[in-house]
Amino acid sequence: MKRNIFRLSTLLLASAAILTSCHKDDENKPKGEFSSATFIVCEGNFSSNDADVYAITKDGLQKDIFAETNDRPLGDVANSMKIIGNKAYIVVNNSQKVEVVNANTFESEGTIKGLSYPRYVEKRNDSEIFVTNGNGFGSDYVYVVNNASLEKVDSVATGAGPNAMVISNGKLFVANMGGFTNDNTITVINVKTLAVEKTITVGDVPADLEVDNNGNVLVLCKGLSVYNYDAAGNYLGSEVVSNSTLVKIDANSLSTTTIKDFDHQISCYGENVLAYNNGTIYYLDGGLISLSENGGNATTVVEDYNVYGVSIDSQSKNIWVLATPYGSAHTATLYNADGTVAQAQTVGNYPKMVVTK
Amino acid sequence: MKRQLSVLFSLLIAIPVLCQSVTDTVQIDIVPIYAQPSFFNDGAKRVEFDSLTLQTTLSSSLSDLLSHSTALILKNYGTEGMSSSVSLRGGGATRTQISWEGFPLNANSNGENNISQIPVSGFSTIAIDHSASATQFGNGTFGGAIELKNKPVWRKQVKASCLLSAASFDTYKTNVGYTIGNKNIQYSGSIFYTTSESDFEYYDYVRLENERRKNAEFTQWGTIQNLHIKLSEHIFAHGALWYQVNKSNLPALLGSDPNNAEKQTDSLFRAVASLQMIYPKTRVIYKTMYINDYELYTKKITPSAELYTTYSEIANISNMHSLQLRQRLCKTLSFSAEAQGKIAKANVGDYGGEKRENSIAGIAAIQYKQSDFASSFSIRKEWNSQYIIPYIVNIGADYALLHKKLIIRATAGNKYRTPTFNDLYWVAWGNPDLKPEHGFSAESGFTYKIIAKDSTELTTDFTIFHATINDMIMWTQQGAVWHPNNTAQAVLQGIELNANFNKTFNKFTIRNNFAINLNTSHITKMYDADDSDNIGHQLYYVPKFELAYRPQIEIWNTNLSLHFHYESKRYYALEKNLNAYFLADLGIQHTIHFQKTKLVIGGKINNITNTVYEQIRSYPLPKRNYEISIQIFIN
Repeated sequence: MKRNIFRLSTLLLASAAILTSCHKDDENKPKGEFSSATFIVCEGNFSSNDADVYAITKDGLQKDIFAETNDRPLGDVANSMKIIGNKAYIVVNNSQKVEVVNANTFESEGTIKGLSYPRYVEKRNDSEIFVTNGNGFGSDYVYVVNNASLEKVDSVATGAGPNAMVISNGKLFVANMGGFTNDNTITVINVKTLAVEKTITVGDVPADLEVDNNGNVLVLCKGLSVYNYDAAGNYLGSEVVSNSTLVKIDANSLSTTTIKDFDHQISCYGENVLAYNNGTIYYLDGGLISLSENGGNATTVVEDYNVYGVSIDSQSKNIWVLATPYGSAHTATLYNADGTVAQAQTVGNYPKMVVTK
Repeated sequence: MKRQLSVLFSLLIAIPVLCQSVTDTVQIDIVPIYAQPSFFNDGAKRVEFDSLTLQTTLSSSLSDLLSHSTALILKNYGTEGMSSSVSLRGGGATRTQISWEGFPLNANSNGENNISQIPVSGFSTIAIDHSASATQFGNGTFGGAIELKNKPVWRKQVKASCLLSAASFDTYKTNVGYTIGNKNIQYSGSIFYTTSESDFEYYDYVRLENERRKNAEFTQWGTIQNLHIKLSEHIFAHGALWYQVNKSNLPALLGSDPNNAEKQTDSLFRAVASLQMIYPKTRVIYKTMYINDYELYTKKITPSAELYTTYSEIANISNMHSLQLRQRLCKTLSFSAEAQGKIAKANVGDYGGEKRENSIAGIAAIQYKQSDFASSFSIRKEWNSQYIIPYIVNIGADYALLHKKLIIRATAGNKYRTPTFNDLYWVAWGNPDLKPEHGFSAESGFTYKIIAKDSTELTTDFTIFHATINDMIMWTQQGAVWHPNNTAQAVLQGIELNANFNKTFNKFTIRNNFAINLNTSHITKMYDADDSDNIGHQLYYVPKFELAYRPQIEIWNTNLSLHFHYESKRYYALEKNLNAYFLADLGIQHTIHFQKTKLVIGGKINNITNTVYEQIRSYPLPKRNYEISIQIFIN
């Protein structure tokens, strides 16, 4: 009897050990082809239905991963992508939708429709997301969308052309870039109650936002130019109304401080022009520029007048710079902090941002 | 007996809007005729739609006609008003010449012609020359040419016709035609008007929404007038005017925000005049044509915006002349000499000013012809203000066997295509260093026709063709910018098989038209080694396999027809393709006679199977749709 109990116990312990070790291996085992990929979101040409998401995996660079996985095109103008949990939300602006895919396999899990001019996505809570929508000619809102049903459940009116957004101190900060009109404000929304707590005036054309180590919100405003045309559409010339400015918003008091007043408008056609990493601000102005969050002199890390977007690699903390040289292939280049190249990729048209897990 | 003959005669000219059926043994309904080649173009496959057939397709544009009666490769961007082009043998619209009274209509700016803007009602003959020789037709005929002509019938006549048509998507058409004349003068004209909302439903597989097309309204009106005068027994004069206005709202692409704000207005003015002196052995022909085609394209951010983001004016102006002498040297031998001149201009804002190209060409040809054999040789030399064009030659022959039931043919010659003005001059994107494309084409085939005593008629036509295009101009993407370069060598090759089977029974007639095309046109060489992925790739928008079948039955003054069409997949980018599709159309027409007046009531259902398909990526085409029409013919 005692021998049987001992044998049984040994068998049970051994089984438990085996099962436990297998479970740990499963947890560590990568799931999906893109579980550790770096994604490059390419807008594509306007009205060409050639928006694209590239992925850098251990197998190299893969293009068109949405279409290849789901056997249908992504659409027209991919503006942004956000990974929340195991899902990736790809905002396809001119196709008026947000594609929801599994962030590891890129298989479609649904589509958010009923939008007119979607721009960015941000997490509200475990069951809802925010979507900015609007081009300045109407329907300028932040929509609240239910993750499960993918239906709009609420909305908050904003300024013209709500674009990039960040969350800090329980508040959603929305940059009203203007869309096809002009704006110079940040709408501050209580994440829980959806009440608009304040509309903050910053500089003209607030393009991009970041959150610093202290929870303050950094805003890069590109500045405003006016382009004049006659009734027949002939271009008559332009005039500069305001230059670029870099502003910091205190997330508690919502007061503003100017970090840098530019004497020109930053030289960059894109809007993904601001990045932040551990006390250093990066922005695009004829190249990649670094600046201490405390102000001071800016340093040119990389000179390139074709820059179009900047993103921080969450793994290496190096800096991705997207470029759109005229007449040649568009690129995504990973730079070390000292400006040396860590890797370079040729990608699709108008690479907007790099998204890493 | 007389009554049956009169019924039969009525059926001859009772042609439904979509598909016609003619029981006459000479003319075939909207089934094209495999006709003998035109003078000095022996050996080439030529397909002709005759005047009676075209008379009753009054509601059709050339695009409609070719869509519903041939297996040609068409690229339709939508319904009424949207651009449509034909790509003979896969050569593309810029290598398919559309000619009117012998002069090319292809735009100097982009080398193409929108065949949805060509009203069939304005012409008495439309012919497809599949191997249009460059010696005769000149520039841009690697794929072939489509000829539009108006030929007089010298007899006393007063005729009129009127068409009223209503179709899906709020489409309304009207067309008035008239012919008056005698043995010395013939005047004919056509006045046409079309309006459409073009708001068909489609499934947007990018936005995953069922949509109804917005901002797609279209209006077209115009006239084509012809005057033929017999000045004497041997001298004939002809003058024609073609004026037309098309106004279109251009809808958004599939997958894009449907609230689009693009418009296009086309104003076309074309005039042609000719003087012919025809003697038993000598013919002298002088022709001249003036073309002034104007296009205005505008775009706004939103429909309600005040300012334009794009305001583009395009004017294509051409002045062309031709003087030809044909001399019969003896019973079997004829000689032809011709001088052609052309001034081609285009004024486009994005060129940075008006651009111009002048050319003069000399052509000589000789034909040997007996009762069952014809062969011709022609040579052309062109002096062009922009390029050096080499000597162009062409040779061809037809041989009739078995009491002319079997005709064997073959033709070959070299060809060329000069860059379009857009290729050369488009600001920042054009390439002024482009060279003309050059190459050769050859085809061979046969037509076999049997008419049995029991009114059974069988016609079979088989053609095999091959063309090589060197220094092929292709627009390739470099970053977000497109540039044209002499990038590749390509071949156009394939097989075309057509068969007509008609049989008349006691009280009814059945007709069957069958066409199958196999086309393996592809890139054979890339001059830049980095583009080697394209080698061997099928040319874009050229299906490998195309099938058309049209059965008809005529009974009791009624014609019932079906049209089945299948196209295999077509590539629009490297290894990316549009799906294959199958379409079925149904047409019915009934004719009622009142003395000298004939009333034809017709209806058709297009795309019976509700197929979702595209011929051009991102341009949806309508699902099932309908049309009814009433046509009145007087005399």
